[in-house]
Amino acid sequence: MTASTTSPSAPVAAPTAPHRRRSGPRAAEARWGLILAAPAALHTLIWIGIPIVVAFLLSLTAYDVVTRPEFNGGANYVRIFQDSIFWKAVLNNVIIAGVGIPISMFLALVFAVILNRALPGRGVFRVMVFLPHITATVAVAMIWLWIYSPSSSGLMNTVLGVIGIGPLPFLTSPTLALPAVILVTIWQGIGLKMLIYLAALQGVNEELYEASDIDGANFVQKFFHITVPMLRPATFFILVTALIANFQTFDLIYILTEGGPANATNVVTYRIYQTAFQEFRFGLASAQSIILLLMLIVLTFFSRRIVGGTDGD
Amino acid sequence: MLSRRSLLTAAGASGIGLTAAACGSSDGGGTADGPVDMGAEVSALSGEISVLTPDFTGDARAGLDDMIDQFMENNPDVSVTVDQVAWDKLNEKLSTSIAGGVVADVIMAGVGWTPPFAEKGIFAQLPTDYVEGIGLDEAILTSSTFDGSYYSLPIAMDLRFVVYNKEMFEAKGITEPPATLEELAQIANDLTGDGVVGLDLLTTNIRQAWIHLLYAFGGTLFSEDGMTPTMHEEPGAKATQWILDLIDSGGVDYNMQAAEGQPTPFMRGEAAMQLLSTAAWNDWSTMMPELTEDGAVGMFLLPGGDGNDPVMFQGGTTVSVGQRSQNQDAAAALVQHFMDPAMLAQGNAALGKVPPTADIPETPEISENLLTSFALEHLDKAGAAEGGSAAWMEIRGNLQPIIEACLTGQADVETTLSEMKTLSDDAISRI
Repeated sequence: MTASTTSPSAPVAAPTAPHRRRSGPRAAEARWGLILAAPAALHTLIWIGIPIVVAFLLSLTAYDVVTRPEFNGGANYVRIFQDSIFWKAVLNNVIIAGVGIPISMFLALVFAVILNRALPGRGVFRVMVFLPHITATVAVAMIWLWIYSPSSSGLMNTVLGVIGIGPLPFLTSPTLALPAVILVTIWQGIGLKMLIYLAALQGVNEELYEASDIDGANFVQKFFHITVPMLRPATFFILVTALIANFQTFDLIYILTEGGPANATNVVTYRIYQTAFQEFRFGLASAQSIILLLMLIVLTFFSRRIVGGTDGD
Repeated sequence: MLSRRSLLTAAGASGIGLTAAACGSSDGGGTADGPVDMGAEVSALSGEISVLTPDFTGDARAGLDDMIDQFMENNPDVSVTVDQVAWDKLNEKLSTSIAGGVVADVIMAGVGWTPPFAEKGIFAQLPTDYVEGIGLDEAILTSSTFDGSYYSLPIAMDLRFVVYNKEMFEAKGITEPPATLEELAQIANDLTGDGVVGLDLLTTNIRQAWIHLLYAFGGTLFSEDGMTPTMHEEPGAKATQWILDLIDSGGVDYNMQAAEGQPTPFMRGEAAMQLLSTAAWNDWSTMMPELTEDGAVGMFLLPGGDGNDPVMFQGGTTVSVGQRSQNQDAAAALVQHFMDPAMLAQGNAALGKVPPTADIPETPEISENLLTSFALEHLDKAGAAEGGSAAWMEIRGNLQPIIEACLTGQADVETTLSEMKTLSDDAISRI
């Protein structure tokens, strides 16, 4: 048990009245701080704050764009809890995140550690790994459409055909479609994660490795006892951004599968799109968006707890 | 300096203001309550009108521009601008333009969209005497009505029937196309084997293929007034079971779906028959020109089941006058111009689609298109179509996964039909 550093009987200094300095260098700094932060704050207010408020207000209405919104209380929220397709979409997002993010983070870390070494041609390899991230998702999806093509002309089925398997219906089978989508998200997601890990690796103090060398630590021990802990802030950042990006996946699904077959690959953002732009139910879509926002806030909070991020992260 | 309280107040007020602004243009009603005037004098027409179209992309755009140029020559005080959007973005375009208070004067949309958009006050009512005076077949006009009135006109149809590989038929000694759905199933099974599937039913669109079969068994999606679903009744069950039986026997392969831009299994010789849309002609011309030669493939209408007549499925493009148009007379005049036989011929020649009537001037593009020629011969059979209810837009997207779940073995027929009914009842209850 840790002893308290103060005792109740210890003399306590008399409280002093708060003293506000209205002039001097600190006040000038504060003013400049406010001035410099103002554009970002204004941007956040106009383009994030107000839309959230508007979305919340619309979520309490029956609104089809054509006629005026009619207040319907929490009917949209009640409906969401009865909407099995929405929860199927949430589940799909959770599966994509639960499977795809750990794998892509692990692979990104491995690539980062390897490509952080002075290897010949590492610049080329770095670009190769990063390339899927900077390629437009529409182009990525089109390429994977060809790779997954159900006919023997598809790349994947051609390769599988050589070893006597298939052809497999990657995007039309309810059991294969989601894994096929997850594979694309992993492939596309490694690049950015690797870049962040590479940057974080530059900041790891080399003396720690030197000290561990003296202690006789092997590569695996150094990796798990020095590299991984020292990359914790980066891991937290990657995890949170990956979770948010995962729950905002839209274009990949839109082009690859349109949420099918039988909603096997539907995700929350695509469900919101369907509700708003295919069914013209903007009130319900707004409520779904608010639920998504709340889910992301909760996920961010739990990620912080799981990874053990600090205030400085 | 703003206090926290005043800042929050301002944010809230701005939010409410934006909401109000977003809804400002959305107070229902348009500029005319009754049918639009299709008889305005040319001298009375002036101003600018806009056309929203998901069609006439790529090379076909020149055809549309030429049609509009001819309209402007005849109506020198009217100018026309074109807003082109992809088919899959048309919904977004319409909803965002409505929210922004700027809706096109002339709107091209899909078959099945008329009742929902007429009910929402986006399409204006067209005069019955004008529509019936054009002389289109009743089957073609079924999807242009809402509540007993016309709100759109078909200008470029995409019709569906079955094509077959003549050599494969001959090899199996099949001399006649099937006359019933039972015969079609039998032939599909007979032709299946050696790397060939008898019938490629699902490549074009699974939902639309199911609806096509529903009509072939004598069913409909909704009651005549669009307020009661009927798709879950006996013909719906028979249509679903017919597909499932063929999937079970191998005559239809659920996974045989061609990716976008890829040759279909029929084109590759991996399917003996295909339920095909006339739009396939363009792909045939570019990818498999041998299929476009006279006599290269056989064609027949999807036969009826239970003694019903054969039926074609009707997709394609309709044209409407915007209910919110500030220049409805000019918009109506442009719609009339598009429906002129010479324009129908020119437009469909550019699009590779089927005119809603065979009564048009001859063009080589249309007369040499064997799929269009076959469809034109059977326009009176084009009675199967999506839509029929003002709630269709809500139902449409959710119907497909229900059908897919059944065809992939995740739900039985009874559950599937029950889900269809629940979905439809729920959507209709909100009208």
